[in-house]
Amino acid sequence: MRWLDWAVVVAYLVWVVWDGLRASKKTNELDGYLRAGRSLPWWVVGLSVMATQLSAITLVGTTGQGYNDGLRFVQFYFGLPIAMIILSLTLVPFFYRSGVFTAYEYLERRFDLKTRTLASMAFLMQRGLSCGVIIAAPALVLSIVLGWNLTNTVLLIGVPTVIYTVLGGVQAVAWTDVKQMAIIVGGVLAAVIVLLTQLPDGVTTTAALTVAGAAGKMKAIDFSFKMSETYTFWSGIIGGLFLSLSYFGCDQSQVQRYLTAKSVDEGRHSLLMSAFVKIPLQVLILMMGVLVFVFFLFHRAPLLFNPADSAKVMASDKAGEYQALQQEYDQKAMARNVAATNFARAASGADTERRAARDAFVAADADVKSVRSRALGLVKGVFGDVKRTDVNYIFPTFILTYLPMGLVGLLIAAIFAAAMSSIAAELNALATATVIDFYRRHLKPQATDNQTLLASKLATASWGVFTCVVAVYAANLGSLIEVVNEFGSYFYGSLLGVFILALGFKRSNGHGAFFGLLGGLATVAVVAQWNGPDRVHMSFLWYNVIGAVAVAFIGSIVSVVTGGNSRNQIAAGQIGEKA
Amino acid sequence: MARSEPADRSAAPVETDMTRIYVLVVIVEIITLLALYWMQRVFA
Repeated sequence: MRWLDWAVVVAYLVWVVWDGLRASKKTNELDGYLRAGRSLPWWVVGLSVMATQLSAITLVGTTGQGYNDGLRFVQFYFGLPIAMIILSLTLVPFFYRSGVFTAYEYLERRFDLKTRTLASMAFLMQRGLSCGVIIAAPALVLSIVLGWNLTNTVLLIGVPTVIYTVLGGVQAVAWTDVKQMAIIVGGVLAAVIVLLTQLPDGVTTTAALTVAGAAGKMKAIDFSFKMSETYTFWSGIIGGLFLSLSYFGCDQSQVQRYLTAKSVDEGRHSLLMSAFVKIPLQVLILMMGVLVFVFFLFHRAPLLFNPADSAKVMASDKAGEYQALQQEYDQKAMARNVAATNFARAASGADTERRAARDAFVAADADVKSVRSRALGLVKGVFGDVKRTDVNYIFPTFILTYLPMGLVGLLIAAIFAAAMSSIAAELNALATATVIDFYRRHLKPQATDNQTLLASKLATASWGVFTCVVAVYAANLGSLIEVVNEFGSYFYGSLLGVFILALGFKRSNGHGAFFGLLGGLATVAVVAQWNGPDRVHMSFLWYNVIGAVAVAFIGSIVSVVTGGNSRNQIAAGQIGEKA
Repeated sequence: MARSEPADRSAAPVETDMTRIYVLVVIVEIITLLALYWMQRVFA
């Protein structure tokens, strides 16, 4: 990074803290601090919802996935728009009218204290750890590609985020999210424009996409029904629907966003913004990855994108093997460059010429993939980690090697922005659940609002410290985007199951919900334990469906066995009832 | 119980019927999926 890039990153960090604090009003009141006094317009909440979901893992990892696997990851989001409609019709108005601070508060009204406590605890465990991973992802990547110390990088992301979240509460989080989304989208668009302008002479955008298509990168939809395939149309539309229902409906980090809206309608609009924009935005980010792939067809790419992995293999007894692969890679990459150029130029030519050029390119690309795969195999062997990939290093390598001065700073700031916007919302939600569901419910029920406000600030700071510590230890977990999504899926389906039980099964009771939730978590844990290529092989997206169904099933049976529910309890928690 | 502030229902704005927006969301998703499928076929 050069001086202008540093200036952009430093200016971003200073501005984001200052602006977050400037935009915060009435944060000396509990409702202002935790719910923004229900004053935010739909577009602010909507952008905050999107910024919370779009972490640095999404930005960096998704681009890498676009490079490796093309557009297929977009299927993960196919269930999201439908989930937003269902939530707008059900949980959004219900939570809003109930006047709750956390989603789990509602579970006590509908069921009992133990169900609320268990659900909130499941959220805190899952989010607390995943928040650490969300800091770890960009911190690790930036520390390696920029040569920074990992702990310092974690602190550079974590400390400013904790400062504006502690001092400004949910309003600082929401208003900075708006600006951070602008930086992220601006950075992505700038990178896409640079990628398109860097195509070689005579290679049009259409030709570039045709080349990418020949390498399988333009395949966005896979209709095959394979449980083992992570991203298919069906896993996206069914598993993704359950995941989105759970994430946006039962995860406090998202529920808290729309509880800050001015009205139920504004809360609904904020979610529907994602329903319209999320898939196109993901396509844009994945397309950026596809264009990086095309870019590296015509420019020299490293054999492996993680320089630390290469260095470690070179320091091992596999160094000779790796050097031989490097030489083979240089030859194959050059051959692919020629084949790609020929194919791109023949793409609009005669059919026979085009087919021959296409076949030559596909063969050359397969050769390069084979060398890269063998090199990654060496890395996996040296590290003893079968899941190790360099997917998260592809985009940063491109940024730092090929983008002009200033734009490098903007893209690094965009990665910071993506990380900070998610982390801030999650710290905010973790603190709210800790204080509302534990401190003021169990530890100090007589606490005044001022005491609770102080506890909220302390809880935010404490979660900040905890997640930074987790981040340092979680830094080596393979493809981080999948780690976070997979870990979430262990809990999400079961949490959703409790809310389905609450709203859909009139006779379900507290015992049913509590043991149903435990049963759902246990079922997913058992399935995850047995999930593997030589056993019951399924995508982790299906865990969401399994968890939700298991909770509903076990919860219903336990409720019936333990005598069902009284009419009063049902009235307190049914949908449409203005609690 | 946690002492959450009850909603001020008397001041709550009237909720609007959003059916048309929901239908629009479904239409936009179908168009997006068709566009992705078309792109996949064209650039295959």
